[in-house]
Amino acid sequence: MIDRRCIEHFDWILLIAVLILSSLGVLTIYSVTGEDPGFSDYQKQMIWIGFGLIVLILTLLPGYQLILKFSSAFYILTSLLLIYILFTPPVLGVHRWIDIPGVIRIQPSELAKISLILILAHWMSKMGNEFPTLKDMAVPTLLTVFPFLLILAEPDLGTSLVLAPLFVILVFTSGFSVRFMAIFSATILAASILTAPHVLKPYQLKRIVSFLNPEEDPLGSGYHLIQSKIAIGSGGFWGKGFRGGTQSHLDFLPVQDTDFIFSVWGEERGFAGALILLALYLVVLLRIGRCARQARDKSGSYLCIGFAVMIFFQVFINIGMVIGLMPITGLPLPFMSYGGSACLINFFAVGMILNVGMRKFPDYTG
Amino acid sequence: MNRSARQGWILWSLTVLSIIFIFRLFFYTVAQHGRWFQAAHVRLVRSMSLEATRGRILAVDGQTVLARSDIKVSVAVDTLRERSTGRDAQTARELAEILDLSTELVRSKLHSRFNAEWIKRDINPEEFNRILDLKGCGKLRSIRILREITREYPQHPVCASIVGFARGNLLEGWETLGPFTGFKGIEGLEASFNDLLEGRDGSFDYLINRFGAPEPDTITVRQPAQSGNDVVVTLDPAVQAVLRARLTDSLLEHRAGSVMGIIMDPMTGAILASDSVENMDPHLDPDYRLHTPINCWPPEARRNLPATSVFEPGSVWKPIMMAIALERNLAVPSEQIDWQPTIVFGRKIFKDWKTFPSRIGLDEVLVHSSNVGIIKISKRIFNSLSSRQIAAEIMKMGFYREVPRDYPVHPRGTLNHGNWGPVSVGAVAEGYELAVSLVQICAFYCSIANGGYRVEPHFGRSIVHHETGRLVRSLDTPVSTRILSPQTVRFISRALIDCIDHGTGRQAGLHEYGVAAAGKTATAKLLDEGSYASGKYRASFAGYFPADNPRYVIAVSVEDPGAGLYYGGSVAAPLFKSIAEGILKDIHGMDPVPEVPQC
Repeated sequence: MIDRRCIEHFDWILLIAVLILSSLGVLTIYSVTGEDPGFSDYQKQMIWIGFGLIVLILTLLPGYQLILKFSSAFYILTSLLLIYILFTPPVLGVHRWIDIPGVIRIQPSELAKISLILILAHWMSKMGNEFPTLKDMAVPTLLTVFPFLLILAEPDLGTSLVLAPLFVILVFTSGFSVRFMAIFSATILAASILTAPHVLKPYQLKRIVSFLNPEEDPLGSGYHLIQSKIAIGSGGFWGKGFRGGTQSHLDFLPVQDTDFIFSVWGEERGFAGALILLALYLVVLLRIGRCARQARDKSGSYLCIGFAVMIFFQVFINIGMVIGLMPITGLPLPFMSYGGSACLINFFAVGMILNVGMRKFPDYTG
Repeated sequence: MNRSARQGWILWSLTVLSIIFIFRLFFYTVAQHGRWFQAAHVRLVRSMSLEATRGRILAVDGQTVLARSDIKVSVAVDTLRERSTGRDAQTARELAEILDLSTELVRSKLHSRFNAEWIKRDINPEEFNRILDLKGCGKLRSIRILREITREYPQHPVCASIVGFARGNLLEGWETLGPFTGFKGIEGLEASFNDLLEGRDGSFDYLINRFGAPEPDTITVRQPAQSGNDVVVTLDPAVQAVLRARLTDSLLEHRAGSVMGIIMDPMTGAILASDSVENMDPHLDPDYRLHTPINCWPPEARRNLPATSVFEPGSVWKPIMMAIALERNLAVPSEQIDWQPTIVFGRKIFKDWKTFPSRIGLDEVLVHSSNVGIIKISKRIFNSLSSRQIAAEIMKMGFYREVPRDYPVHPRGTLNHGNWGPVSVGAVAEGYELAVSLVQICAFYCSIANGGYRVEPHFGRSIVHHETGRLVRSLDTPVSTRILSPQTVRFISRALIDCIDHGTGRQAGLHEYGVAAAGKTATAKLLDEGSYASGKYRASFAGYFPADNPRYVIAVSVEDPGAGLYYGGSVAAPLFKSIAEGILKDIHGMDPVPEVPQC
């Protein structure tokens, strides 16, 4: 389980950076939602962070190899859940949540991300070749495509898009042929562009159109992006100050405590604040990269890379979205955005990375 | 490329991506900050003008309000917008609950066939705040809270023709409901003191939320509205009421075409009351006058004739000619004049109105209003002075000048001295061939009453701060120019007292009150289409009381009395007396002194 060397190798910098990011998230949620007569959103988020830390600690206790042994079972379970929700009544037109009233609300697509990382890390670490062949990649591909299609059917474009880079980067780091990957990626991209009008829902298409030209429909699909740009741009270098954001406080900015929390931060803290936030994410990224490089085995390395991709794909998509570099997808900003499930999953991911990092010494026998 | 190198490549890629993000953020927050800040400003900030409260017009006591602005807050619905929301049931329910109205009533107003409809007028602050709260949540988007300003005239209709009225513009977009804004004085004192009353509009900014509703606590005053000042005028509503009532009585009694009167303070030239009644519906129907705002009266009914009309004054002009002669040493108070029944100038024969002794004293000319006597004095003036010099003398006495200056209409009258011919010697002496206003006549009699000083007839007394009541500026005109020597004043005033004691103005006497009065009657022929009509007269009287310490100077004129009597002494002098009695009784609480039976 945990011995003294595990503590010695524990990456405190990573944990502290994550906790700072989470605290800044609470602060920003407080700024936009303020005090409610009952339980305020920022208080709920603090509780979720508390639960997240418990999840993180629980994740640290068993060695990651032990967790990987259950990856297949976990993958099958989440796949069943994904199939199950397609047959449940839609909520707001989509099949995304399993609601046990008064107890819990589970979003299987979030679990699918974790299960895919675990199973890909487990499977790919078993591959004997230094440079895997096309045949070696068949199973990982199928393992990825299956939940990808199920999530796309919900529909949940944002989450399904997370799975693609996850797979691509894990395959890339496994040593698979770059040329083949390039051809494969180009084929997929072309196919996506051709099939997108038929597969994507009208609102998803609208998001892409408004990303390309937000001014075309400033009160409709382009509204979110324009408001976000106004919020960040009007913040200037130093920002408008804590609770001083007008776009957020006057409700011009949509979903400001989740998807557009970076806009709120940018408006209140300005360019300087945005730099600090990006620096913190960079610290997290570098520490994860260090863990991945120093991992005791390939599975640990894949786990770090997988979770890093999961977190940073969302970071870059989210920030890219609010500054107009990416289309609006509805992905929250890890550690900052309000939300219980995402908080638990992110802390689980950090826990897994710390787990790999603290057991990096070669003679570990956990 | 081995695994480690590929991981490093990914890290570098992400670092490059981060740098792109940083550049993009820099571009928005620093390079394009102004553009986005302006975009935020355009979407968030709304400006609204803050209408300055128009000042009040206060009566001479500084307390009685003659005109004021009332502001109330009312709720209206834009029915066109309401129809597009399709949430009438919810809106009606919420509004009915807040405004304590029935839901059915509110709903019927929401469905009004007009483009806009009042829901409730003059709401209280709690109702206002509750509606604002709901609007802040994006509800009640078709509902507008409007500021209604009305200009009230508490002394209507007594002071209506002097105070005049101010008119506002209809609030844009809500014309059918008629809330007014931006009041401007149109007539009367409202017009002449408009600049002092209207203040300076301010403006404020406020933030709106994405529903377009104003956010509480976000108001930034850019320029505070500066309320207009209050203007205290010389008008005394009690005196005005007396004047108004007596003029009306006289009009009815003598079936006159019109009756006008003015009362001034001889020491300051302050106009205490000024009014006119004409033989037309708005003047004679008290219900109409009371219930109809003055701006709805016909224009001819809104005139205040003493200040706005000019006429040939007749014999009230004789003291002016006498004063010129005395001031120019062309007559001596103690001298006797040879009287004759007629006197001819050019082809015109001037007759006296009664037979006088062959020699009469100079004072008798005024006391009994001898036409021949004053014409002989006039002849001396015309023989000694040029037309221009005579005109200058007349102007010096306060005529042919635009008074009162603080009233929007102030005709100077007609002198026409360039065209005076031989007939003018007699005509001018009798108060013909020139036109003056009643206020000018009254001002001259003020000069006799105050010892010879010219007064400037005026309505403005002082400007006081709207909120603090502090005196901003006095509008009183100092009385300093002497126009008549004490000897002249003594002679004329004695003659005017005698005129009431035993002359033509006997019916103006106030002996029963123990008060001496002084005055002069006039009976002038009326011009009708260029010639003097037979049987049409103007009866006038100008005088003051108490004669020993004058406080009120009254000038009245009755045009075309049609009930048989038409002499100044029998129509205008009783009117003077009636007005003076009203003042003595109603304002000073005096009663007639019972006559002591003579043994």
